[in-house]
Amino acid sequence: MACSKAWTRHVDEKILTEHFGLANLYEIEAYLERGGYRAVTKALQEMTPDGIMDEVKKAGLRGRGGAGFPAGMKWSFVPKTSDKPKYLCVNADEGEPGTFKDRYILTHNPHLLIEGIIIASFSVGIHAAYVYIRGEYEAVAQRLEQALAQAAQKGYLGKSILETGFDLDVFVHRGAGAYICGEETALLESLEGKRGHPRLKPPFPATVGLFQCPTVINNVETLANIPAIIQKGAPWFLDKGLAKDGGTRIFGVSGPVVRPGIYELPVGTSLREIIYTHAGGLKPGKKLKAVIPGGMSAPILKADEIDIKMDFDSLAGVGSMLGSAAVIVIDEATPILDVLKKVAKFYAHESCGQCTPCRIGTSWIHKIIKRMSAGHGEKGDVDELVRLASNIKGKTLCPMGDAASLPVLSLAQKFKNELESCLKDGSG
Amino acid sequence: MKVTIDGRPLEVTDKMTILDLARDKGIYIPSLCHYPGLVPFTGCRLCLIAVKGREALAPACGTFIEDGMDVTTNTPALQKTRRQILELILSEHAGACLACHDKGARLDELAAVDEAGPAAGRSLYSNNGDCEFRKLIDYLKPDKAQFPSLDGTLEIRKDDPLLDRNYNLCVLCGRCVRICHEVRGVSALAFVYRGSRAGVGTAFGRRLLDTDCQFCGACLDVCPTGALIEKSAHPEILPDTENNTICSFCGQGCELTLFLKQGKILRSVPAKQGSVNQGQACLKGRFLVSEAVYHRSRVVRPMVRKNGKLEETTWDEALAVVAQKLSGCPARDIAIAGSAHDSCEDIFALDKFGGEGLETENIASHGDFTAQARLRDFARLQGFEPRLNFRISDIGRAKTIVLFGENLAVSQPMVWLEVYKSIRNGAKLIIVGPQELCIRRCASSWIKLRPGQESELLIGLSKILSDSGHAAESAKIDGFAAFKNRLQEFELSGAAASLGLQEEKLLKLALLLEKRKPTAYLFGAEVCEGSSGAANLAALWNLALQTEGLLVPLSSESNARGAFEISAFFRKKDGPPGRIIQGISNGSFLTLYVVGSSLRLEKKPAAFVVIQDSYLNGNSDFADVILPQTTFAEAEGTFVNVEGRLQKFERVIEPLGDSRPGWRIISHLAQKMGMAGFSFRSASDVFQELTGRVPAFHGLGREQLTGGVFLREPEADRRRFAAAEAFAGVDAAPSIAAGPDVYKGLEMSRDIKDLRLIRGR
Ligand SMILES: Cc1cc2nc3c(=O)[nH]c(=O)nc-3n(C[C@H](O)[C@H](O)[C@H](O)COP(=O)(O)O)c2cc1C
Ligand code: SF4
Ligand code: SF4
Ligand code: FES
Repeated sequence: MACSKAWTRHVDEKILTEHFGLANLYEIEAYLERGGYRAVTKALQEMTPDGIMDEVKKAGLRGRGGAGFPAGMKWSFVPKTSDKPKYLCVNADEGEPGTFKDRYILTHNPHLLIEGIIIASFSVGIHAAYVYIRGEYEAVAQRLEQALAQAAQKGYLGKSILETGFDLDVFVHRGAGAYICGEETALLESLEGKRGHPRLKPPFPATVGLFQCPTVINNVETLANIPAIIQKGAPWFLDKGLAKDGGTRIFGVSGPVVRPGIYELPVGTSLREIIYTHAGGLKPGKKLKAVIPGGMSAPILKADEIDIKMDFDSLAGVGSMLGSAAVIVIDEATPILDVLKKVAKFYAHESCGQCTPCRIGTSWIHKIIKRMSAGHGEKGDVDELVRLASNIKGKTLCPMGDAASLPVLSLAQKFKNELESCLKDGSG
Repeated sequence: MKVTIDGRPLEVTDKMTILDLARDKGIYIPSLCHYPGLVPFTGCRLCLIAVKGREALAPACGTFIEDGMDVTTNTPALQKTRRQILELILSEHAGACLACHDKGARLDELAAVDEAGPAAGRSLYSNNGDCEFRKLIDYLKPDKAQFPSLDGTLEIRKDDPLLDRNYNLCVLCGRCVRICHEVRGVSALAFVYRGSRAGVGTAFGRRLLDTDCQFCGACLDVCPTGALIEKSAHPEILPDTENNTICSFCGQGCELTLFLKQGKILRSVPAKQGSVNQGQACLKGRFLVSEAVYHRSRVVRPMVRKNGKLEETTWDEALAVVAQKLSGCPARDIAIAGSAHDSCEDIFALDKFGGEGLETENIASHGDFTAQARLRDFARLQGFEPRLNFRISDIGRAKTIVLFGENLAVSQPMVWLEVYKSIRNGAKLIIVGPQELCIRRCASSWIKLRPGQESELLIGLSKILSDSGHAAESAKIDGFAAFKNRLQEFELSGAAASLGLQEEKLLKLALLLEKRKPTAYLFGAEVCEGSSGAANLAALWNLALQTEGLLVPLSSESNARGAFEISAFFRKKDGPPGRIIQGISNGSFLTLYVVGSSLRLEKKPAAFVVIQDSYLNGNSDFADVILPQTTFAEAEGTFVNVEGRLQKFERVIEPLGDSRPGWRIISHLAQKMGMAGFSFRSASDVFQELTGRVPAFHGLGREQLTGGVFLREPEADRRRFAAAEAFAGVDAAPSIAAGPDVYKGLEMSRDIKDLRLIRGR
């Protein structure tokens, strides 16, 4: 199979993007030809729900949505005895700036996700799944709807799948463009037809989720890994990773690199390798200044910090995070103030407004940065930013407060001199 | 559970939040978005506390106690965090409010604001002179404004009646949004926009009038700032006194707090501790008390018709004229029409005067036409005593609620709040009636039928249930066999056809009632009226027996139950209650004494007509004498509410003009006529005699009446299916129930444009 697209490259055996080069992989016939739906058949006909859950636990699959929670463990929190219906919500909101991996899975390999949905639902005892898809992804949603229709037609969805007596319906719900609706509890509110306000936890969605019923929420990429785990087994999957966790990640590299795009690589591949080997390094004449390693919410790394393994624990160890594995490359020519302005504007706009520190804090951060970038920054502004951001961090209802404050803190700390030189009576 | 707060070991049994526990133990934790009874919002973050072993600070208002928790609520670091959060809120708040916390500067500041305010079209003061937000500022003492204030950018919404909205002062605590949704079930207010533009408002920025807003004022009462302002409030005119009373605008008996200045009512708000209403009220109780009391059609001087014109006169003269006329008229030619809006004392005095003083049998009481009276009449005919007392909270236990016809949200708002709460907790509401009601959106189904068809529906359901496998329980109740036999004759398909329903729908409904027991059946007078009334009641009674149902008869006058119990005591002979009303409209009586204006007169009904009322209205044209009566705010007394709860109220203001309480008018009149037994010197005197004589009131002391006292009624009702005779039509009672927006005949909303519209729907 010729691989025609520049954004995906063969390196090793792939889990998610293996057949991306096929022009019509999203058609069920093509997918079946490539061995599709065998995992579903195996799971439903040969495995028990608990057996599947164990396998996923052993595979060391951590959530790909951002927080990296072990998927198998999340499933096991759903009470087995509840007489309420249970739900699966697939997080396809993909709102994290810099992130564009789920859309590729949804566009090119939707059946892989559907397989994952079926197996996860079977394992947890779920009969209705909702895919919450980013509002802007209209064409992507259509593609997914088509794939779902095909799967239903072939008997992989609906009543008594593969005549096992297991029923599952999957519904697609399009969001309306709010970043916060990617946060799992806000997503539930939104699905219920309400304003996307994150909920107070506990109770956690596993016990009280969608429509007050036990609910599992997983990212698209997380679920797309399930079929491979089922087919090839947990040890194989675990082994794929170069760190403690298993599998691969789709790294979305953006910025002034030679070949921006998505790269499916083992979890734990080094950041340097991703940027220089796979993405081809920086464009001629450009020099690396910094990298945001896991989507905009992740604290920034300076150019000399990129010899780091890209897995959850390693990045947490240096005070950053793997998040959605979106690698945003920043070159020397880009003023840090510009980066900061983008970050600040985004969060000031996207705070849901519930918490005082997040709502007003982000808005002041944005105002101060706007003032700085207009050349009116005053002495003490950088400290003020730090003070404001520290007052958001850890003090809000949902993790968005941290997401909004961590990048500001890291930028202000790591590039304090550069930022202070923008102030009126700064040294520069 | 054992917990430690600030080193204090505490023992807790109930599931509660840290904030509630702390409040309970007198430990102060600042809070802003928290409001008792609402689901924790945890947005303001002012109540952040530290829990040992947890990395992040936790909101006390939304963190539930767990065994072994070790909580710290007050450290310099926590105070600093809270102060910084408060500073953020202040940075978006009107600048002048900052000065507010400095008591010394406050008056000057306010004066300056007042001058600048109206010019800038804004008002910067809190509703009740009681700004919760300012108290927080006092407590946390932010040193200085960290940020320039950004107030005044939003237009103040003044395009609604009764309240303005100045969102420049809004702190986004969401209390208004939540009370509107969680408690009132209206959701007229919501959060709008996001990020720094996030705010509160209506859908598409409409006026409240153009939303489902019921103008209950609940949002006003929970707002901790001056963002929501009652139109009639003024920063300079602050109340000097507050007194509680019982609202007399309908039969629920909400407790209201009236704010007074120099003896004049400024405003009313629902009392937080009200036994019936717990801090809630409706449009009438919340906004219209002072309008009703000081209404321009109040009559405050006795009047006597001279040369065809009513002229003001003295009590002496007016009472002398009445006494003379009544003395000269044979008892059988005198009729009295009482008002179920009056206090027990007024009604007792009137009925005693009529029954024992004048010895007339012609006393009509409006309490006799309510659903409760009809239910008791019906049951007595069947040979058993129904229980009329209930608690509104009993409805909350029902898993299915069947509501007949009434738009509860308007006619019985407090009952509606309970129904809504049950629905939120999973109960199903079924509405039966001809009209589509606004509350239908909360209902699982609406059975549309013509008035009078209720019994067909109910008997149909009974038949399905008695034939079903679940009949075992009902079979144990007396009279089941006979009942089941009678049901054999009933044709389900015929009934379904005449109701215009699919038989399947009936089956489904019956299944719902069967599965979701207990049930509650809420009905008003309409269901019991007319030729189908008795049949409806019988069918309801029986279906309720089959479904562990609670029968909830509703009445709308403030003292319908009291009126009915008292007049039953004085009634000499039983007879159709419609007889006297009929007689009055036929002109069968020579002298007529009318209290209140529930009875609408269309022509002069008798040669001599006395009207005892608080207002002049259409009836006044036919009056020969008008005796001005006080309103509830000017008198003390007791009311029995729809639940059978006996509540007392005290006098809040001096009587207007020469007006007098009903019992006093009657006592003077009786004394003028030389009758003994009317030397009452106070309402308490009347109450004492009342409780000594009327069985339902036996032994109830006025001091006991702190909200939880109910009328006495026979202990156990005999549970038995109603017999066949009930299927036949009984006497048709006339319909004279007053609409929900009428108080003593006064259409209170007349001065407020557009409001009738809201109330009606
Ligand atoms: C502000 C915010 C936005 C988020 N947006 C997304 C998103 O767009 N897509 C996503 O998969 N997870 C998002 N998350 C993470 C989810 O809350 C959740 O952790 C994830 O969907 C769980 O799936 P996983 O365990 O499979 O990763 C977001 C979290 C926050 C706090
Ligand atoms: S942290 Fe921000 S986004 Fe999250 S609930 Fe609070 S205001 Fe909303
Ligand atoms: S208007 Fe008042 S109650 Fe409503 S959110 Fe604003 S401050 Fe809170
Ligand atoms: S009172 Fe607890 S967060 Fe507002």
